[in-house]
Amino acid sequence: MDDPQVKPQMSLGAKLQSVKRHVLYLTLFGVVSLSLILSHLFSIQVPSQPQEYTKEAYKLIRNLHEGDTIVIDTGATNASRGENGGQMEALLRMCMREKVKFVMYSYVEPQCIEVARAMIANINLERSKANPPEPAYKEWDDFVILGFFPDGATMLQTAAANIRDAWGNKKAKDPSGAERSVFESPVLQNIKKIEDIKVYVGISPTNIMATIVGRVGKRVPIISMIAGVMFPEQFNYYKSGQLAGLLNGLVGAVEMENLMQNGIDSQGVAGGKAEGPPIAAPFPGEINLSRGNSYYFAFCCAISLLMLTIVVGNVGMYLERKRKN
Amino acid sequence: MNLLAQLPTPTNFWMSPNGSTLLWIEIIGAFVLGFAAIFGLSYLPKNLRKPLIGIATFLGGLYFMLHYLWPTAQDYSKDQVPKGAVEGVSFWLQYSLPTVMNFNQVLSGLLLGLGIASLLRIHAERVAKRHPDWMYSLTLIVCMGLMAIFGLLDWASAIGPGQAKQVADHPGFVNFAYNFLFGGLFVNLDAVMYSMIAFFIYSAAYRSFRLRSIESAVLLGTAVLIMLSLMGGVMVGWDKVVDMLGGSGHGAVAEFMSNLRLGAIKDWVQNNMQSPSIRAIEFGLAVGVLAMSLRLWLGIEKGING
Repeated sequence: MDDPQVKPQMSLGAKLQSVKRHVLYLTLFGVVSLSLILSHLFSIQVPSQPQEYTKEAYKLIRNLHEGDTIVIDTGATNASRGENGGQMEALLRMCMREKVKFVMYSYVEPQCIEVARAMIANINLERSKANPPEPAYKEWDDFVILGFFPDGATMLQTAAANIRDAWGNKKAKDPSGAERSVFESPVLQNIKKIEDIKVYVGISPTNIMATIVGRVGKRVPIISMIAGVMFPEQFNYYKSGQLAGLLNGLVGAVEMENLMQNGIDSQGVAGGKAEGPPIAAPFPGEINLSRGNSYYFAFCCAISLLMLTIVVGNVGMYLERKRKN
Repeated sequence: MNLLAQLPTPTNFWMSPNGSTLLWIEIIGAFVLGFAAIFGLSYLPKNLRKPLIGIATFLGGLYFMLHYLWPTAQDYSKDQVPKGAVEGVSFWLQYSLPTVMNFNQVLSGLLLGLGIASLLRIHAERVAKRHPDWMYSLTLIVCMGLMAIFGLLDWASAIGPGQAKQVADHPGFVNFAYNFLFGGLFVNLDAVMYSMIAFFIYSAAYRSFRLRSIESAVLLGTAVLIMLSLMGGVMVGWDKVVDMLGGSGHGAVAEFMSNLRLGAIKDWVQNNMQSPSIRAIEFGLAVGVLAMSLRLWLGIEKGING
């Protein structure tokens, strides 16, 4: 008679189908950590093929002129730094190199502004260490921060009707420390209507585009820098021509960094060497491949592991069915 | 009709100089009056409260609906006198928008404060009644209090002329404490919370992506293709193999093989399967939102007004 205390031995198929959760978690943790360390130690760079929507975004930002003003509507926090962090850093680097002025605010979370400030400070530090050192991007002269708007929809509707009414009561400190209207700053002094803003960039892991497109769409070219999970929803806005450019999560950040490194040639090929003036020039000799590329190898390893695990589960199911039949 | 636009702005009640005692008195007065109004409303009998909420909701909705639908006056100046009632309403809608915007910002800010007050009340009760998990509630209250205190002190330390630079060069204890709490703890814990999703997705994908039927095979196949297309290295390698098989040039074989490039397959899935289905869902949602908005606006929705 069988001993009821002795558990029947599991078949290989059953074992492959029922890997314990903590084993899965540990494997993912190990693979991502190891790949991040390896990527850092050996500067591993995974190739990428920039998509049309990323190229459109790059072309638009790269071809802005010195003194142009853009809006950065941030919903990026440290929670989404893996995706929005790389996108934001790439955008800030481009603005600073092209001397494009920017206005920043958030209506997603109050902490977004603090997170963005820290990023600006980091890039300023990076610029000060460059050889030769590059001047710091200064609040008031080069950018202004409008802070947090608890109700973004009404603010955007007002800005679309009259931008000076919408932001008129916002103040910032000039270099002497005195508080003055943001419209006296070099960033906004020439802005009379929403159409004077050259590009509106929304960076967020959430769907802020529904609010933005509905209110300032058609008036200003809009670029969406979104987390990967929201990309399919945002892609509809791009397909219907309501967005001028789009970045798809971490992959979008990597593509943008690679475009900054290689540019788009006269034939529209990313990294191409065709003769003639490039459609969007690269930034040679600068720090281009940064946060996005540093995470990309780990991202690819994590996806590979995910697919491998799915295969393991299905092989287990096949073996188990075969055994039972 | 141009009511709000006719207000003499320079001597407005709310235009007291920044930082003046009068402005502080006004702020405190508005704060006290606002809270008194809220408490007053909460003590109103239900049969009075319902129509009040209904009227406020209807007027709010009407304003924004008119703003979208009413003809907008083009190229007008603030001292222009409207010609007729239609233009008068149009001017009034345009001029009053900043006031409505400011009102909405204050109201939304107040809701934020109301949320904090509610959270504090619930957790303070849990601590007072020694609820089984009261330690977590205490942790929340202490953390919230510390962050608020040091956040405000840090802000106040950099408020004067030249103070911001001084604080940046020589941070004091308050600034260090705020940096430690916000930059050191909060933002990293925030990142930890979000990154935990990866583990759940990984575990769920392992358990659910099984080839049990034709439908699941289609789903799995599509998911794998999209995942592969996210890996730049795989995409480049796949396309090189396809190009090699198709041969160089623009012949029929090469043209046919170009359809098998990973990017082309991904684009086809994205353009012909993913986008239309999401668009359909979005349309359905929008119709639902419209119906719900109408119910709220007209006071038919019982959950809010009933």
